[in-house]
Amino acid sequence: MTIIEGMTSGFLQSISLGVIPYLAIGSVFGLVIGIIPGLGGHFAMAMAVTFLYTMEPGAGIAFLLGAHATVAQGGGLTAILFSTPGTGQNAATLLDGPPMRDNGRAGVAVGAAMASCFLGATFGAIVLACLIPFLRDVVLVFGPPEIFVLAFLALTFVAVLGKEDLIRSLIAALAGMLLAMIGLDNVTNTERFTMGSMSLSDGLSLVPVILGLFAVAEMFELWAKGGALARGVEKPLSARETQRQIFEGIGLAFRNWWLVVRCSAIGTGMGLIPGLGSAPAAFVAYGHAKQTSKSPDTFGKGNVEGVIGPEAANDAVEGGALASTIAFGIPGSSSMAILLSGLFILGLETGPRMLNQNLDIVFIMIFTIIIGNLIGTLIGMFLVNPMSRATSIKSEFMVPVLMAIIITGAYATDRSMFDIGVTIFFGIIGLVMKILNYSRSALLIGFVLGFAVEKNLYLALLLKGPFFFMQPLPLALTLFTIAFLAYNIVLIIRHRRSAASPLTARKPNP
Amino acid sequence: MSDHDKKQESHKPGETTRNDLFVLELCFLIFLLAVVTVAFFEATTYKIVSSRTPFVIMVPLWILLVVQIIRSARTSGDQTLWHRAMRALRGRNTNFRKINSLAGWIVALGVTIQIFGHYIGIASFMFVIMWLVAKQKLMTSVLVTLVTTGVIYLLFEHGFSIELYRGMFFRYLAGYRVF
Repeated sequence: MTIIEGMTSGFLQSISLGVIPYLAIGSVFGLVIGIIPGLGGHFAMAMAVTFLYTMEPGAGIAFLLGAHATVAQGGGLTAILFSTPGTGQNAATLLDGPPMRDNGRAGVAVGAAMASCFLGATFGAIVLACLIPFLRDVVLVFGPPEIFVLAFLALTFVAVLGKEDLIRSLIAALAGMLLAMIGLDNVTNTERFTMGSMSLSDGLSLVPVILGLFAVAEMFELWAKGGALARGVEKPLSARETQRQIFEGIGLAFRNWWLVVRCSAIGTGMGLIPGLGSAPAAFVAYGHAKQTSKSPDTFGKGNVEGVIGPEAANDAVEGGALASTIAFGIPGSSSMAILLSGLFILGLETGPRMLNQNLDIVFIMIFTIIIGNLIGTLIGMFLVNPMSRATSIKSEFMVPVLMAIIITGAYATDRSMFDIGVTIFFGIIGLVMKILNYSRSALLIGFVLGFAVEKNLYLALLLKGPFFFMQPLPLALTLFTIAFLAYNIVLIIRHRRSAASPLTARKPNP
Repeated sequence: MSDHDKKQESHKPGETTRNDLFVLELCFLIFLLAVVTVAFFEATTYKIVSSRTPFVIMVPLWILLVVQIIRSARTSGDQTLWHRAMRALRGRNTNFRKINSLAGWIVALGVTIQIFGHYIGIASFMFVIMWLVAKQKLMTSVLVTLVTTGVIYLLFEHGFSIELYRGMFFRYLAGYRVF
């Protein structure tokens, strides 16, 4: 399939009646989840995955990515209106969004944030589309030895660059890979770590693990917090005034188009690196916006550029993150790992096959991101006030209702009661990991990559022998992985030593 | 409450949380270490082709777990593991108690689904949590329960054509004798 054919087919499918309703439902779902504090993009995708089984590939991808695309928009909305970021990636918006609200310009901030999200996502999607010809060639160079080493490099990036502690993240990543070993070994047909259970002979299903780690764990946390989801909620503006301000904010985002382009480029670039995620991209974009602004003094006091920059970077990340997921099957974040699981469920395979035979699916993803964000922006523009009321729902209602849906989704995956048990078990594990600052993303990515690692290790040994990693590209990637890990370990040791040093620890004289 | 308990409770809240987290992490790591050790010995019984990848993963994992246990133990406070764990188990840690209670209800949900089927299970779970545990209004609890169960029924049975589990009781009445 040529790129033009793929693009045309992808676009026509994206706007077809078989896909667009799923995209619209997914976008609204993502927007609502984004608005609810504590529930992020991975929660939206984890919930969305459970509905994929009966969908066509195009509709399933649209639903999944539509839900993911609009989460940041919803999160930006609550960050501005209630000083409560719906998702972690909107934390940078807190710096200038709430001060704008306090200055009576809440609608301007919301409009600017939503338009920037849409523009940033469009930029990221266009970059992804431009990368396809390049990726098609590069991906052919990557055989089993390269993919095997690349998987370890990606896990190292996730462990080192994530916000969690390095050792804890490595433990999580390796534990995830070990979980992937449960079940029948494809080569020798030996049952591994099944404890004689028939339910485990096919291994752990992805969906119950995802639901447990990301959905049930969040439910436990919401339940422990109790009460309304957003506290100290300010009274929102009148509907008419909000509308007027929103259009003004959208205009400001377009007027600052050059800032949007630069911050989107930052987001897309950082999205290409596994493990970085949206939150650091948003803060880097904020810093860039402040440095290049004509009025840096007003940052933190309600400068609209401080909202436009991070929100554009937030959504632009997805384009970059999708590139490595689609080309190599190596997800850089938990959301991308869930997307990869969704692609497996829909019967799609990443890598050369997707970039050559299923190019229309790649373009459905690209158009879904753009159209999904457009839908999110349009809905957000007109329904800001009613949608923001979602934050006043008490967790006492939300937790049982969502738990019922989660448990139903877990059962529906394979129609197995065992999967309900797996979901509950991983819910408890996910909660403990969250409390103790162990990376759940690393565990999930390790789990998803475990299959690929083992398969590619077999093939690499078969094709190139035991010294397969001595080939030029695998060797370069191995050395880079070791150097990157060693450099970061040295940095951590130095940092600890300087913190423990009596000279630095001593309080300065008054 | 013993003198020792009173002395522990008089500590600052931040310190108490830190010590609780330390105990939680230690329990978590010991659990993981035990699982990995058992899995390691289990893997030695497999053919080398099947066990080499698990070994490649388990050896560094085992080392990292031991390192992390030592790290945690070094940064721990003066609280004993046993004391903290018992304090949590006696219900003196509010968050732990709330989470424990919800976990118990979720397990009960699983059992109810197994016996009485999916719809009765989720409906009774939602109602019990909202009305009995969270002390919400009866009418609101009933309404939310019925609407959610109805939506799930329509979505899965008619939307996705997925028949949710009817339960052992229903199956028994329908003539099944093998579960």
